[in-house]
Amino acid sequence: MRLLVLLHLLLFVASAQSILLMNSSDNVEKYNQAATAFKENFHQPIKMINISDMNTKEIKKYLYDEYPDIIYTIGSKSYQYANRYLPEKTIFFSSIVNWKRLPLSKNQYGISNEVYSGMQLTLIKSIFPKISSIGVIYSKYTKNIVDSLKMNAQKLGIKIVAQEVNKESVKKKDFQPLLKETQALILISDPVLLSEQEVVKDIFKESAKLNKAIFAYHQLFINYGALLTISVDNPTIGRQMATTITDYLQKQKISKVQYPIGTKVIFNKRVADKLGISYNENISFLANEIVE
Amino acid sequence: MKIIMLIVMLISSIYATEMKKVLFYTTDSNINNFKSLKISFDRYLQQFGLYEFQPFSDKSTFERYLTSDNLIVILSSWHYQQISKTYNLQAKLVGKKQNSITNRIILVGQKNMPLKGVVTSAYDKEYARKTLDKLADNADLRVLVVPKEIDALMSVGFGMSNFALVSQDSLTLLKEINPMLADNLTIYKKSDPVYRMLLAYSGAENKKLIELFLNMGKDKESKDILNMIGIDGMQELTPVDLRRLGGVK
Repeated sequence: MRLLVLLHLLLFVASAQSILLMNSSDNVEKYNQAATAFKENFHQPIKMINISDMNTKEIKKYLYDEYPDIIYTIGSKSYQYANRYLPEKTIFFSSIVNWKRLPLSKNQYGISNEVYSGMQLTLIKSIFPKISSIGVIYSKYTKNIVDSLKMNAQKLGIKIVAQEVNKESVKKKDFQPLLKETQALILISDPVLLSEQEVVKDIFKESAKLNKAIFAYHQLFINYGALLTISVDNPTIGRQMATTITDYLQKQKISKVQYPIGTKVIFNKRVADKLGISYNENISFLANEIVE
Repeated sequence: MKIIMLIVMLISSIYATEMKKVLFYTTDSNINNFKSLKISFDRYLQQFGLYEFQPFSDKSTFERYLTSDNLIVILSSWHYQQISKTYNLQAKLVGKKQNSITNRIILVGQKNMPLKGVVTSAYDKEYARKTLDKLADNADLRVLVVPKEIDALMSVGFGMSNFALVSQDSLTLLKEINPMLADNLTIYKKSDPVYRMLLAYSGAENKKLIELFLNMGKDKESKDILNMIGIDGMQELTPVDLRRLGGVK
């Protein structure tokens, strides 16, 4: 009997998969939040490595020495190294802006860093029930986001008016007609638009002049005068990844790339009062933070 | 210079001894707007005396603070029942919302789904797990904690999770603010009524502070502040309520 138990234990140890958490930089708060929440919610032994101070040679040696079965990569740097040196292993990723540019193979899974547009618009409509038209500035790199916004907006009775820009046209800063035509603007993480900081600042100035609200994707924009920011909740990403990898180990079906489930909503009451915009009185049910 | 320093130290020591803290931690929902919460409560309470509101995000840290005497704490009724004897806490007030001092916890999902998979919830993980075990014992359900009940409900509505464990209040609210999303959801399990959050004390009863909380919610300013923790007023617990919560000490 003892021999059987021992044999079972040995088989279990032999079949247990080794897991590595690879953090691109422990100086980045959002990476650490995801890593901490993952560790707290994943109930199996894991190894961890922070690669911010390691050179390519050291990272390569570490990965080959450890040779883990599963790698959870946080941030794009660690994904790239894992994908370069251990493409045959199962790789999970999170906290990467625009994951669609990644060369995902069939043994790679992840959690997107962008809030699902359906969730984004549901929150906006719930907080500002009178909203019926929103403008959006995009380039060829973010057309998919605009398509998704349009699809979900229709169901909520919101009209999305989109204006496409490229590297040249973005500098002309001609967004007044779009602002005049809509009640608010939704600022998306578009690389062309965001590469022109002055243009972004001008958009905020212009919208304030026209009494129009801006919904943004990062809390940083609260300082610029955004009415609302909706971003991913990083600890939830870590917890979501712990659930996903557990499901994978238990051979349950998992999605290739999931949307993040938790949101961080900051409502700028100061701006709402200034613009005279009415909002849902149950704001504390919908927002994580209210800026007074 | 030394005399000034001494005076400053004396004043601050007097101030420190008189500053009364109200400790807050709830397993009921994942409240994380601590900055706004602290600013709002402090601003309100300090109109009436040297009071300070101290919210906690972590259960064990909160419990470490409960060892001192003469405390005023706000906590969930479930948590109170777990720890009242250990820390000699006596419940005095209960939160109310729309004149109800109880709420129910519900398990909601899209229609006609098998009872298995990921359950999103804004409750404390241990509380969510124990509640699920009570509501749906033996079902293969795993808890994923999210920041807000609206996140839990949206994740089910958009098919990102299988079920949401939320308060009945939240589903009622969702029906008001977004009926389309709420229409897709159905209640699978419902708990017995549970008391909303409690105000309890240890040591001597601080009548002035308790009275202050009892009056909160009677004007718009204090009602807005209580709304941040999911209630709109407080009322005194009756002997029947106290017996149900574990008896009067």
